[in-house]
Amino acid sequence: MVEDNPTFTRIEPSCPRDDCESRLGIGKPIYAEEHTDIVYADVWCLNDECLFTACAQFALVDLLYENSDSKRSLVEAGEVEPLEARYQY
Amino acid sequence: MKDSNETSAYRVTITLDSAKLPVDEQDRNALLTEFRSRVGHLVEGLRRIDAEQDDIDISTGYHYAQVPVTCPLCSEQLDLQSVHLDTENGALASAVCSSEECDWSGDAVYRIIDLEGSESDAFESSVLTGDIAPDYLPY
Repeated sequence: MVEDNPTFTRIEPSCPRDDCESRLGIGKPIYAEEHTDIVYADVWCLNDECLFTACAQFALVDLLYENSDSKRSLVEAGEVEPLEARYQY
Repeated sequence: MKDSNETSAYRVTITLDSAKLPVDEQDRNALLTEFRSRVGHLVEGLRRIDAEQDDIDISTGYHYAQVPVTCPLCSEQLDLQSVHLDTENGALASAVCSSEECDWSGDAVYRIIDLEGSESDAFESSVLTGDIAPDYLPY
């Protein structure tokens, strides 16, 4: 597969447990203290029979600039270059 | 009509999945160094791509994209506030330049990149444990 655009990372908010593929409910997002590039929110499995709960980590992946009638991605416009961050152990 | 000789500075990402790498760190590093060297020779032989060995970086594991919290106009810090869920699997916040001499404002876009669950006392990344794999989508 050949892409000619930068890519952003995302995971689907679905339950990671092997025996369950339900969607996850997502709670109110909050900043990681003074680090506003990272946001956390509680997540829980929407399947009543599954007890999976976790904390979802969000990363800042783009900035949008409002034109007269639409919002423009600054990464797509080449005005902001995304960095690569590694998942931390 | 576009000039066929026109170029743009871009990054090329090659993803290799299902690579079985040695557990031993020395062996793994030696293998990755050889891999990088071979890719480098391929790149050096490509017409019109002006790249060298030093332009090639190789690493293992998943990464995520992140943009810096700096103003695209003046590079001062952005103030990000009022984060809220969007209609997809992410969140939005309002972004305002912290400099009094700059009036840039816009929105910050967040995406879920990991789930940190706790089966015992320690929190574990679901990406690092292999329970979920991230998708890489074009902007």
